[in-house]
Amino acid sequence: MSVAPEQEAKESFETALSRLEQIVVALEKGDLSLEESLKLYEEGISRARSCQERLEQAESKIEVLSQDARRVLDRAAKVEPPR
Amino acid sequence: MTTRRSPPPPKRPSAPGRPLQERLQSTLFEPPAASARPGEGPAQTPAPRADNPRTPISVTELTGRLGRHIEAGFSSVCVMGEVSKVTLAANGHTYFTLKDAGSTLDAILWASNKDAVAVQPKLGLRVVATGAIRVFAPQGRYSLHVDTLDLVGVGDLQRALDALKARLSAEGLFAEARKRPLPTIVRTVGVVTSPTGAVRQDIEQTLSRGGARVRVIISPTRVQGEGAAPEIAAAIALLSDRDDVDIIIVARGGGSIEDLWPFNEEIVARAIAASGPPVISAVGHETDFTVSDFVADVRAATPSVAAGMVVDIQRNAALRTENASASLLRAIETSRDRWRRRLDAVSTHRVMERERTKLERLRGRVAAAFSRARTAADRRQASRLSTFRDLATRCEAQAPKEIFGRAHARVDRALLSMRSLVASQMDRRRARAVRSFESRGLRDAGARVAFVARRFSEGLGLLLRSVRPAVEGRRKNLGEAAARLDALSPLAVLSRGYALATTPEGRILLSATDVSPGDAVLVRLSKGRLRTTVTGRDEEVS
Repeated sequence: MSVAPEQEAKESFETALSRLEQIVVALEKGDLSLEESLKLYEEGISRARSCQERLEQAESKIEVLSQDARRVLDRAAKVEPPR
Repeated sequence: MTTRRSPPPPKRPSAPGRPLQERLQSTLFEPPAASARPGEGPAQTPAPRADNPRTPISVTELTGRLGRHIEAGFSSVCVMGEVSKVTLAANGHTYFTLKDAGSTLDAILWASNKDAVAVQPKLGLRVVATGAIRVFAPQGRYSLHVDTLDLVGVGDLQRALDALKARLSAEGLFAEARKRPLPTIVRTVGVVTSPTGAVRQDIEQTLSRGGARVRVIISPTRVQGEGAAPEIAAAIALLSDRDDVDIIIVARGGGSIEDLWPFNEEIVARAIAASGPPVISAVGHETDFTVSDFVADVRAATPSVAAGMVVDIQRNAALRTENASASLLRAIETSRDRWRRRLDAVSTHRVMERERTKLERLRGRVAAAFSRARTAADRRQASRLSTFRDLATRCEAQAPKEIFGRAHARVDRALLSMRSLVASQMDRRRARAVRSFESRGLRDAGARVAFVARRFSEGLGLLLRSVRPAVEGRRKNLGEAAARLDALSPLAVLSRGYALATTPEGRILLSATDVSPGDAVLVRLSKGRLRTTVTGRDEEVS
């Protein structure tokens, strides 16, 4: 199946969050130069912000797929049962 | 489902008094005590009207007679078959069907009898039932009213299920390695379930109670009965084909094994396996396991539990983000404090203090060297100055005052400018050295001190080297000036016959009163000098 934009957004949430956690670990280790620390910190802030945004983007909503669409597939499934 | 093709059991000519041990072969009748003979049904009914088939009787009457006949003949039977089509009625009675490869028999387990039987009728069970055959006149149907029910073995359906499981398992469909992890964040959850069932409500309520911000897409389907399985499979595919579904929940509430049966069918298993998004299977109650549970990426005990998983995913995503953000702030603050402490430690460290003292000492030495150099230069200049003064004094005695005055002023100016040149050069160099030293900060103090000291001593040498030619040049200039002064000197006048009288100390005598009789007087002639003694003086001449 193709990678949809939604899929990418989901992946990059995971990616962004993992990267953020990596950054925290690196900073907590404390063996970085001041410049490196500051650079990582800036990157971490931007990742944290994008994660937060993505969490807040989610909407609460309920939809019910139309039966018509289902029947079309239903027929297709009957014609060509998965083997 | 596989069916065994065996010859139909010899039901009709069921012999009275047939040995009991043959029961398991097929349906088996215990011969009634009455004289009525089982078998051909109406045709063999020993009814009084049999000889008069042309006289019509009512359906009710026929059914009644049949009923009486059957019930008399089969008031106690023992029959073996496979349980199917189990329906639990609201009043507690259980309706089911006993079947084998050739026939089916309706059966009823009354609620009152429920606790008396060894096993509850469940789809696929192979059982031996005892009871009485009764006719239900309104429908013209007969059924077995069950007194006892015993398990014989695993039914065909169960065997078929096992075979399917074994096949799918061998194919790797249940393998752990196939199972996808649930997503880190869910924006849209697809739910395959009945649009009208309580399950849908359970899921929606769990999601909203858990505060999960997700879009729910219901893919409606029947979840039990004939033909439900392909519908379920299609409903799964419909969600899987969408781009916006992050996770699919396949859900059905609790029910009998037959109710849940569609979720044991291969078509559903295939649809779950083919799904793009991860699938949570939530079919029946905690104790119910279906094939879909094995194929799905995650099994949830109930639909509510499945919805709870989505809630947890959302919470975890929010929590992880929050924690990581907070840790990030803490880490950078800790890091900042650490750097600050390190800086403080470095600047107050003993080694640093020692370096600083060393530095001060060096600075002092440099300053001393500068001042010594300056003093030396001053002394040299002073000695030169006094040489000039001597010369000038000497010349003064022999030259007009203004000429000397000018020469004097020139010499003074030259000396002054030379001195200020030297001083400003020294100050500049020192300032530059100090500046460059301080601008490098405290790092590598030792090396820097050495470097600066070297620079200072080089600078000093350079300075002295650069000063020397200037001094030499000026000395030469002064020599020439002196020669020129000499040329202008009134001493030259001596050659014209004048004489210059001085005391032995060289003081020029301008007045007779400058000496007394008996004093020695030097008389300088153009060539040579005369040592004379004053014998007398005339204070006024001319």
